[in-house]
Amino acid sequence: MNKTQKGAWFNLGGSLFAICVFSWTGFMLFGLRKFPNKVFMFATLAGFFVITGLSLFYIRKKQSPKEPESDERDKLIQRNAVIAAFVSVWVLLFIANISLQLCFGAGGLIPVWSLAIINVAILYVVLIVYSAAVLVQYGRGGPDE
Amino acid sequence: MSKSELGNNIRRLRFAHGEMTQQKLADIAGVTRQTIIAVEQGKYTPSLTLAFKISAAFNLKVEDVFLFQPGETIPKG
Repeated sequence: MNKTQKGAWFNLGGSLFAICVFSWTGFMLFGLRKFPNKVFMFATLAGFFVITGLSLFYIRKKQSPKEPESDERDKLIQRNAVIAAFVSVWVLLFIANISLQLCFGAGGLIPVWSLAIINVAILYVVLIVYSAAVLVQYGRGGPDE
Repeated sequence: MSKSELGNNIRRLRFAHGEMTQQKLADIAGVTRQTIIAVEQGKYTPSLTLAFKISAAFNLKVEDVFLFQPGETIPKG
């Protein structure tokens, strides 16, 4: 597994975790009208520490001193993943706008802070799309023969 | 990545050249071992430069290492 793949797994894990935490917090605050309890807060904090600790996973010994950081295939994969992420930004922005209009009507009002949440959510989903695109393209590397 | 129409003899040539490892070939060609695996399995079509580098590693011409197989997806070797 190379640096790009490790980064993609890390981003995927971190983004999914963040989306789960934010979704659950949002549901508790606005759905159940309750403040998240201490157990949930400590579990979330522990989760973030675990994910931060996983960044040590980035430290990777080169398989050979001559091994390059990235080559033409890595660059192609990253470029394709960036295109997929870029497309997903427009699709998500379109969905966000349409769904808001459907939910609240063309003349409806939403709180200003909800825009920030929508933007952050789109950012996380785009990160997931990018990571998934990288991982799918790499597939599985075979054993040395 | 989709399967390439470019077949190759890399696996056979590696074994013919003193059981050269994928890592050694990768070092000579200046790419990662993963890329050599992908090229060998026909999952990635290398650039012309990389094809020449791989061929040079075996002291062969490009056409002796790579062969165009329209419609075929399974690499030789």
